[in-house]
Amino acid sequence: MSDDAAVVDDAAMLKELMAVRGVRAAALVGVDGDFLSGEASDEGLLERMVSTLTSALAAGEALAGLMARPATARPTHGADASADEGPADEEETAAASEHDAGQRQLMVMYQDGGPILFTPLPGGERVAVVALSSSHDIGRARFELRGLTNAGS
Amino acid sequence: MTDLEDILARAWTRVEGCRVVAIAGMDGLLIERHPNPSDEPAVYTGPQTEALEHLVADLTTLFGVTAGAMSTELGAPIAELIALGDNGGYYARRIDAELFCLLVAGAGAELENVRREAEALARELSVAFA
Repeated sequence: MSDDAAVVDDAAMLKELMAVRGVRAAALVGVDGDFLSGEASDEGLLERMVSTLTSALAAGEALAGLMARPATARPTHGADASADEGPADEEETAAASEHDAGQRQLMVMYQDGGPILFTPLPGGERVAVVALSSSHDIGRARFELRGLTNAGS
Repeated sequence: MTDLEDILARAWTRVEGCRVVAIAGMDGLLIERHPNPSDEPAVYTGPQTEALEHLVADLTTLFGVTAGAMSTELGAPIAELIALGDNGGYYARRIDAELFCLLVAGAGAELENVRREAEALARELSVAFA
């Protein structure tokens, strides 16, 4: 795929992510947390979200690694994994699994503010990150993100 | 309006006395509902978001409970849960292993109609999101 095509794909994906009700900011990042592109109704929110990327992905990977499952891997290499941690300072981190192997989501919930959802994209190179308005939007966002990411595979 | 909202809205209009129709995950999370109190808060009469989320969580538990001995004895998974009271009732129908739909109806709703429309809704949702 050419760079131009990738940019168009990224823009289209971001537009679809932002169209999900409850999504306030969306970004595409590399599996190592490198910011690729993003869009937000509030630039400050996007900056705050990006600043959490690397640590959140690392925390999710570490939690998945602690689970007693036969195969845990990077967020993109999808064995099922799930974990819950109690609040640690300001945030609570939970890695939530999808039933479909190859799908895994990571969610970071803040005491003051909406949750942030990380969803690996097909291909294993990128992760979609969305910031939600409130915890009431989690179910819808997870469902719609699963549809979007499956459609892109 | 997304496809999902559209499907729920159509089902809601077909069931007289329906206060809210929703789709939820078997993980206990509400996915979508119609009507939504944020759309027209002044005229909305259904359960508030927190209450509906609580209902969904309880129904998920009930689906889990009925998936055990009750389903084994029956020879098939329990697909419908019905809870009725003097002021109305709750009707939940399993869509697949991961999803179920829920209708909250007032006292004036006819149960057979609720069941029929919920079955049609479950079928439509399973096709739309296969």
